[in-house]
Amino acid sequence: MLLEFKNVEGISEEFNLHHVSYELEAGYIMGLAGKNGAGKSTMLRYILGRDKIYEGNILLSGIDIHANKQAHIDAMQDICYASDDNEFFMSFSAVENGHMLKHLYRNWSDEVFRDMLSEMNVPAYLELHKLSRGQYFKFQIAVGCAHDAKLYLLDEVTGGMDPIFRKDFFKIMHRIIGAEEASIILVTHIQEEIDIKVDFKGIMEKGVLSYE
Amino acid sequence: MNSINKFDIEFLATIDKELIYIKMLRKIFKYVAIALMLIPMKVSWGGLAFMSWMVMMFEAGYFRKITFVREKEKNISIYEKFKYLPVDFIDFYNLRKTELDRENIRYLLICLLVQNASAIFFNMWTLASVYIPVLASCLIYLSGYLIIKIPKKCL
Repeated sequence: MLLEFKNVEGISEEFNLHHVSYELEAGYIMGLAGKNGAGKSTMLRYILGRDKIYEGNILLSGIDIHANKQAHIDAMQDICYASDDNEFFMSFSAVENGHMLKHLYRNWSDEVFRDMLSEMNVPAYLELHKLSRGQYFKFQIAVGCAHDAKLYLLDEVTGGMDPIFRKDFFKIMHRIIGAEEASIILVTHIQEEIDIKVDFKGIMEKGVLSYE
Repeated sequence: MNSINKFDIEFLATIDKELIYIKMLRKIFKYVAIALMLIPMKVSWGGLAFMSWMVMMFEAGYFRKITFVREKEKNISIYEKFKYLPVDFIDFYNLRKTELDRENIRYLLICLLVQNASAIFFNMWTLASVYIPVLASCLIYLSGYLIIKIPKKCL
């Protein structure tokens, strides 16, 4: 099992998830839908946050990601988070970011990074803040591929993409999960994507996850 | 060499052009401040106080340049950039602190040596020949430390 949520219950003073349990095997795309404030981002925050703000366990490849500080740092080696919220070095180009990031990831491949940028038509030498929203998401996915991520957390990424690329995007994503034994959690508001493009559909409502 | 060191070398190489002037001015002001240490504190310390203030400004400016990145007309802490990366903030903090410690201990020792040698030579040694260089160095250190410390929101 790639990702497991075991009876996760939030304990922060802010908005919390309630008894969330699910398992996601490698090779699948899970769609996550829900209204604003339903808890979609909170779920990602539980995975990405350095501190444990919930009871229960979140396991990545069988390892509790919040067992200790190092466990979470190790887990981040296998996670690609693509979101508006995840800002890399925006005043540097994609290539400059790649030169720096390669030292932080154990499995970084310059060749994969370059190929993915080229395949997705991301300008390699343009400062990141000059990229369009769609190009920036593509850059983030290229980073994920370059460090051989096992879990892709894509937060509203397709909204900024043109319809033609959106089709290609899902082809690329299927290729990634096939070749790299990875999984994707796709948070989206686009109903068509949830209905057609994903393998599992989770609906988040008031911090409770249900399946369809 | 660990991964954060290699990352830092690459990061500094990327911003190298932006660092040229501040590095140069920081050094020049430090040398001038050291030269002013030739004047015994008993005679005058006004010039040194002004120069130490300048060194403080450039110390803070230098560490800001290498600990923050300028984006959308805002200075964003590099620790925020590490939020979703497999990095321990403490490793980067230790890297910067080692540089700050090394530079300032060296600066303090040189200042003490120059001031005390000069004061003894002119037979004008007072306790101020010790505590003023120490105080000046502490303030310079503090100006750098306040920049490199991990922001509360990242802890």
